[in-house]
Amino acid sequence: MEVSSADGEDRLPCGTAVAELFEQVAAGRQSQLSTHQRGCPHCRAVLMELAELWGPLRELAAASVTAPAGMLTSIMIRVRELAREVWYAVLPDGRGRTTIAARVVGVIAREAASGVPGVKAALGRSTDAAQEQTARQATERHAYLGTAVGVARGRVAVDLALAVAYGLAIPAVSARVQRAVIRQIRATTGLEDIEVNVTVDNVFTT
Amino acid sequence: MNEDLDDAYLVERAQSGYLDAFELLVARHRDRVYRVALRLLGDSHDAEDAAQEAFIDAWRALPRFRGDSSFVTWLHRIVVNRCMQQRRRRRDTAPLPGDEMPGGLRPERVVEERSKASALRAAIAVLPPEQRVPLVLFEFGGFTYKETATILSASPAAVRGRIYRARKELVEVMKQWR
Repeated sequence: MEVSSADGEDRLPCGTAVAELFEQVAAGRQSQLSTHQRGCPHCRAVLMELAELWGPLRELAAASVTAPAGMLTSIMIRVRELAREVWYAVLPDGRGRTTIAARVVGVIAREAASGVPGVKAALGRSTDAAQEQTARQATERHAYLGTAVGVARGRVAVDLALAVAYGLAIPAVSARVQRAVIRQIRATTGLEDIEVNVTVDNVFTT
Repeated sequence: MNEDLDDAYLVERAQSGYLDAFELLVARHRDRVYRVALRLLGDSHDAEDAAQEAFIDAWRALPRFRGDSSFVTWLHRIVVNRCMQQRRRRRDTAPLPGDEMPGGLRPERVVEERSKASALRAAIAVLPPEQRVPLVLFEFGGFTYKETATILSASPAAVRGRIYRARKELVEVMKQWR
């Protein structure tokens, strides 16, 4: 190739930047000639040469390459293992960062809810063991296996199931539980963005 | 299967803990990730390792992904980092031809290869990383110049220049095979 690189950029005698011709060929547009290229022997010669030389790379790029068969399965096995353990809320501050495991948040939530009068609380979607088992199976592929606590980027979501003492106003009890849980998680962890989902699925008589 | 669910939606679901959503993301992007890793590393075992580790890294980093760029460019930044780490580790045991040569290419080494295709693969493998990475993302990853620039946190102009130098090197190698 006849090139000069006076300005640090390779140019043909006609002034065309060689890089542009490379891009044209790499995009497979070597036969779409511009008006200049149709009349310019330098450009046409370089385009023809590059089209030939670039052929093997085009073939390699076009060759079908697919991920090995077992890759998806092995990745998901490891992700499932990680998901059991490694969901943390992250609290950034000036000196470094604090991470709090989801299950720690879960313990705090359950204790706070149980402190509300007239409430028996369980972490999860039901206070009933058989029902909770069903709910657990239904959400088996959820990351927070059995914990019913989700934390991501400083956000917390807690699922609580309650049994409420007979005779109490359920909406009022539920609201008290939400307030108590939010207040306690805030006070002990510093996490601010908290959602508490309450399922009342049982009553008990005292 | 679920072609209509876009990446942003699946990422949000995965971030709130749904493994099915993450599995769909892996299934959707695994071929491209593997292809990029294969051309960056030049070895199918290394590429499979790097691709797997990259997806695990992505899962770990997912809570911190804020959607400032698209998921696929964010993912490939992780893939590139993994491949570079893998290569450095490999170099500690067996030196790779390209790494200690600033010029990148030793044509006489490449010519030893038996066929045009394997000569080309070898020539890509010995390009210096700053040329090889953008070339592979563009030619084999199918990314645009702009996307490649986003992945590498570089300007599109710089990326174009680096890809041009890579192409020039490869064309020089191919000349010996006419």
